[in-house]
Amino acid sequence: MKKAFAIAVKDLRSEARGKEIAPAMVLFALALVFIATFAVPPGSGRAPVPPPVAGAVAVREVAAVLLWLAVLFAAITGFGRSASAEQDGSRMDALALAPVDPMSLFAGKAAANLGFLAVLQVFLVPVWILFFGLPSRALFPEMFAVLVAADVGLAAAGTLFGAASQYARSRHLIMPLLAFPALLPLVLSAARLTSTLALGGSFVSEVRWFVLLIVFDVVFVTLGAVLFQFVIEE
Amino acid sequence: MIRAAALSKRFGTNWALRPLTLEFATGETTILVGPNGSGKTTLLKLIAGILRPTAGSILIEEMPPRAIKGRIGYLGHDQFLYPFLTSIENLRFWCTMYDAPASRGDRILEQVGMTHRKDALAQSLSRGEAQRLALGRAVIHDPDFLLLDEPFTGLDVAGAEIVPEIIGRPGRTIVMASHDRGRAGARGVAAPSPYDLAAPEAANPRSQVWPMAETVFEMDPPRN
Repeated sequence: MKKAFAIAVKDLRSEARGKEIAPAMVLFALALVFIATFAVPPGSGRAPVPPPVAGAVAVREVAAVLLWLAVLFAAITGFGRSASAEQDGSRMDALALAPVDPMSLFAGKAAANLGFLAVLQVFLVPVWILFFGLPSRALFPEMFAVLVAADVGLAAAGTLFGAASQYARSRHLIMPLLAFPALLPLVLSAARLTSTLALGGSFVSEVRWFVLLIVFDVVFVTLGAVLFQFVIEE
Repeated sequence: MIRAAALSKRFGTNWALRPLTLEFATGETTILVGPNGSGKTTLLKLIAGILRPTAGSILIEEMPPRAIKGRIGYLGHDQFLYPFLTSIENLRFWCTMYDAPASRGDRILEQVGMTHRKDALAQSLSRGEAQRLALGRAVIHDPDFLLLDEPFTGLDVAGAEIVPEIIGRPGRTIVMASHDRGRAGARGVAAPSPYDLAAPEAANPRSQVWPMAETVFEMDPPRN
């Protein structure tokens, strides 16, 4: 645990000084959300939710999907860079040479990635609410639970796929190819929950999607902890 | 004892190391010499357990390298330093990874003559300063087996002179690679720098404390 903590602190401290990952993630996600707002009339998110009509999609539902698409794209970009930072200069070899339990290594790297996601969302979520004119009272506090649950799975899967893609020749292409299909169910669950909250729906009525998020968290954390030692070896 | 039996490594269709059988006695210093491409780095990486052999085996005290990785120190072409951590933060980080006390990092920093650059980010260090720090990192856990790939790269005369003090320790098995036959093998010792080769023995007392290279092992490039 001490080593996992040291690895996470090392990554976060390096990022605080180098600013190589989080700013790129934030700018990328903000740009996506900003561009998307051009497709909807200003303040349309503030309009009362119309009664359900077959085939019709509310602006708030679109906004929920856009938020998670922006998070997913930014996360993949950031996690790829985070994994490269360890691979550059063969520092992953050095870590593999040290008596560090691969689970600690995975936990440390995943914790740092979780930190990057938190920084991203601290900037992104308020801007997203503002741009789409969403009712923040309807979103919070349940939205915190959705963000945390989704972020744990994203960070765990991103850490695993990021490390796995580092040994491929076209690693920047491999990372999204591996991560997108695997993360789709997690992102869909988060988007569904966010959409329900944005529409003023009950979190309890959609709790099965939250359970699904937790299941994906458990799956990705377990897979990462078990498989990480294999992906960091030659 | 480090024992390699019919050890070989191939990357794709290219042989980096043709089958090789050799032993490194415990407590001895061995210099691997040979031209570029002769497999020195590959051999060191195989001994360290960074690479897996294509065929053959490598055993350290009758165990695979990964089973005793906490007892191996390795300095490769890459210095394994984090550019946005300071010198002391880098060493303390590796202290934690090797279960060494943090005070060991301060001691090593002093030993490699880098106390004045304690709070400098690793990215701001010169090549030689970074190499000093990397040498310190390689011995931070007081390893029994030390594998060094061109350890003098970038070091000035003063830097080269402190290398024996940093890496030498009774009972430590050292395997060091150099592409420079003359530099590694002259007088049966690994001379720290070209300047020392030119200097008379009497004027260069430091060379006397350099651990004797009991063995100089010459490697030939594999014919692919």
